[in-house]
Amino acid sequence: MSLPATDNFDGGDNGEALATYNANWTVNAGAFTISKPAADGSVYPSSGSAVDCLAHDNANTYDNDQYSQAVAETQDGIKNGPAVRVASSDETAYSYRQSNITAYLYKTVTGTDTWKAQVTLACAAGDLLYLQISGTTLSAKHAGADVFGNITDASIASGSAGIYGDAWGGSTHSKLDDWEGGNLGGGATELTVAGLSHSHAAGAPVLTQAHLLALANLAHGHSLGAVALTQAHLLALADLAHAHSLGAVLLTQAHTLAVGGLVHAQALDAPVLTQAHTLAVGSLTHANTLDALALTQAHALIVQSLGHAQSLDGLDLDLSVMLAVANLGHAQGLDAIALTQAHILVVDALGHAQLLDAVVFGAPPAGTVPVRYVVGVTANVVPVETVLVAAAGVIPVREFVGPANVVPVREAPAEWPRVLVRKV
Amino acid sequence: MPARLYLMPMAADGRYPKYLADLEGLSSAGMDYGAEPVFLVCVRDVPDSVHATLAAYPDVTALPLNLDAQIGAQLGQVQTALESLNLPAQWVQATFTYRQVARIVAAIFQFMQRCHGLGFPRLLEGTVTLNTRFNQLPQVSRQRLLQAAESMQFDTSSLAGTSTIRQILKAMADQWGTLELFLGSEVL
Repeated sequence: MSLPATDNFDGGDNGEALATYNANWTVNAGAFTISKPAADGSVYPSSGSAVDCLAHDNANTYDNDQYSQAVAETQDGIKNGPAVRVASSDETAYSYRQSNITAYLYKTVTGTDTWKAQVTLACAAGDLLYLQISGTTLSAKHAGADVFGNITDASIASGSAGIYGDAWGGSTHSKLDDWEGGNLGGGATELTVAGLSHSHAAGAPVLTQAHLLALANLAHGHSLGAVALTQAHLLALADLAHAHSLGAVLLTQAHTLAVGGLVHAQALDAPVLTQAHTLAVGSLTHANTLDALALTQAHALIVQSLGHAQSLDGLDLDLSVMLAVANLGHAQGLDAIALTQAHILVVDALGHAQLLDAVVFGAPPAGTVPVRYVVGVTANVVPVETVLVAAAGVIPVREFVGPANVVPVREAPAEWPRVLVRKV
Repeated sequence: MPARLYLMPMAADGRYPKYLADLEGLSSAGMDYGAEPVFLVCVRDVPDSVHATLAAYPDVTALPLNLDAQIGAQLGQVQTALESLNLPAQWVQATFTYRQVARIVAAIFQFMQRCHGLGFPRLLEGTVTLNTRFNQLPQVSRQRLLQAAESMQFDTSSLAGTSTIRQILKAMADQWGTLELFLGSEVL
């Protein structure tokens, strides 16, 4: 079996032991049993006692940097979840344990649990539970969202991907389905395409956990269509010239999509970013279009140094932390921006005849807005004064305060989305 | 409300912070001192009432909200608090910030976590203290410390002769280098 390893638990019989159903599983502690009352099987811990359950994939050798994920099926108070760096035989591992109401992170060394983190977090059937370790950094995601923040732990250096199950589980309690384990990086850690000229096509590359996809210095008539990146750390496109198209980029948990140095009639249409940390688009000239961006929980969308006749229409930002648009030249249109709980909209150094119409702000974010920092994409990014507005539709104007190299957004008990405009 | 850090003992009946029950319903993360019964705990958005409760426990050290403040006149208090938890504190200076101190403490924890992960028992118990010299340790303890350091690809030159455990732990922490240390919402 090659990585990523998967198991949908569909091939066994109802009530069959996990390792009997699939010899690729080694049960380190307790017991797991297949549940298959219908065609779609799942697995549940079945020690029937106070013994926790732990199993791992024995068919693959995992890198030390690895991940494990599974879909929660039935959810109640019994905790299940993915495990990483599971030992070959001892009850040793890191595990993300999710009940229907609480998430926990534990390390277990030869059967002894050590509490690492907890958070109140509801979980429903169908939610994806994900745990990874890179070096000494543990991080977990629930349905794609960070659970605990990163946590450093150097206790366990190596092992395999697997699953954890609570003591006292059973056929009527929490179950797991559609497990997957693999290495971070998933193969190539860097894919670089550079120096291509004349009518090349780089169509539909699918990268899983690639660390870097870099496309640079492509000229004349290239197309880069339908890139699908899963957990990519960086997609960098730079110095592309003449009639390029970058259509329908689909990034999941990408950390950065950087597009820069594009000239002449580029199109960057309909990228869909989920939990992207940064989308940076810079130095576009002449008739660029950047339309219909759909960002979900993006941390920063930074658009700067756009030349003539750009359109930046129809942005739909949901929970983005920062949208910064700067150094736009002539006749820009910045229309129909819909911000839902966006934390800040910065519009800076606009040239002639700009339009800033129909900005729609969503409801203010509930509770506390955390301090965020955006570093370095814009030179000397500066502290921004937080502005509270009395009602949606009121757009206060403040000057930057700075300079410095970060943008701390001042914390306040409740903040409304706000817009900052200067040098118009 | 931002996160706050606390140093506290481990519970008597399990490897979790002694006052974890006070954190019910809050987002919290912990870093253990390996097999030694101590936790560094980060609690996000801790209500004032919970903070007051935690800070009032005599065996809890609450770090100030502003981790980037210098220790200054609190130097003696900080050193006493660390030493009371078997954490070496001879290296702490008044010009250090609380974040710098927390970072070195967390790095010490990482080395001791590796010892724990390798299955080694507590080091600092019985007659072994922070002032015990390496050459006074039983041979098996010396081998364990060397094994842990080598597994982390650390320089082991401090693990010799008359180096005290307090010197060794600081030397191991220093080798963490510039790598970030994460504890929930805090980066040290």
